Amino acid sequence: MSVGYKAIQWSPHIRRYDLVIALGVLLYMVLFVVISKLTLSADRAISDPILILRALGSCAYLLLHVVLCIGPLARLDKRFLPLLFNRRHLGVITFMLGLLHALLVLVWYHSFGSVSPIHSLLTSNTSFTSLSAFPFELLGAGGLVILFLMAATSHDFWLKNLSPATWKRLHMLVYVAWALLVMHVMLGAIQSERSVLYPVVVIAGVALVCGLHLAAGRREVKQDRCNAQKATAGADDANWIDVACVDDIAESRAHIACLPGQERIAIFRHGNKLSALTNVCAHQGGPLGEGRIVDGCVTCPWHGYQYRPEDGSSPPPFTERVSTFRLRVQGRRVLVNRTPLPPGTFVEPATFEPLPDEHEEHSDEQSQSIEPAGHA
Amino acid sequence: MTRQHRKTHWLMWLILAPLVVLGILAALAVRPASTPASPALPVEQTEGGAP
Repeated sequence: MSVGYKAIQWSPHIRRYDLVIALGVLLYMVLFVVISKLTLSADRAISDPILILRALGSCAYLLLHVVLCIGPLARLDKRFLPLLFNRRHLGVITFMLGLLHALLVLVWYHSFGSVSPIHSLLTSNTSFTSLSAFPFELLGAGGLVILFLMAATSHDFWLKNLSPATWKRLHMLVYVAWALLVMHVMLGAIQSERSVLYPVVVIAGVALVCGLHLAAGRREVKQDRCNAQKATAGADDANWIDVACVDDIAESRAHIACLPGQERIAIFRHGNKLSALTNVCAHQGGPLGEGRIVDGCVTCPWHGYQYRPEDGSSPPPFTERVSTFRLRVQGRRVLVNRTPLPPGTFVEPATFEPLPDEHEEHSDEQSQSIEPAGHA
Repeated sequence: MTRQHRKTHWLMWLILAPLVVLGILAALAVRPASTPASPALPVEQTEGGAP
């Protein structure tokens, strides 16, 4: 979270993250070249530029799969959330590796003729009707153009100026880039390599990406259906919907209500109060309800954007705001008014009586947590 | 993600996943055999039928 724009908002976490990626890429490149040199027999030996070219291309391809797997993994298991935090750097590095691969291809295969390398790339192979001789380089170029658009607009400056909705739509093109690059590899490297290992690796990657997205999607649909059934079953009137029991919401956490035909609502419990916000973070649409209350503010699990639970506004000097909802408690049931209030509207939190034993537990927790906080 | 983004996400996967699978199958079908065919051995020509 930042008030102004900085090229990169360095933090110890981001430095560590980027260092690990850089070392990982370097290690992969070295291993690829060394293993290729050791395993390829003299009659099939490959020159160094082509080895580096292949190492760069395969590294970019594998990193793209890692980038695509982070999203569903983080939805399936919260332990992967730290990877999501800085996914954009991983995406930009993927593009840079792809770009280096493309530049080496242009220099090595297309720069020794009488026409320009780009002209040569576009015209040297026009066998569009043949699958085995298809100009697979153009598929790679298409994927790279999309990755360029994404890398160029990855900064929060573009997120703000394009609007989060347009930015997200643009960045969903990563799946089109992925499909183009899978076919680039299948119609390129896989056609010339005889080993069974290569197609197996490509197919395993595709299966992993598809499988994880399918699993995460199915889980969300199942949860939504379950929540929607609970919500409609307890409907009080057209606008006030019974969504949960107070005791089912953990302290500083949220219950995510899914009402048919509208965005999900996150109902947060803080002490003996309840507040409701839209589940969609104003930054990148992260699921606020999967976050928790830190320092009195709802904190998005994706990038740490914070909002006050009472009015959905980020604490000063930040200016982000999200919609709030009116709440009331009847007995132990929580009822939410389904009409969203304009972003930043203050709503008095609904209060409830904590259960007697819960009150004691809460007091114990507070007394235990005060000391470390004071030391910190 | 908003509802609209989730819908776009699903739609994109519904279109792209089958296309990618079909593409992979087609690419595998036209791929040359994994072991190059060994050159035909010279056959000794004999006269008068089978050796």
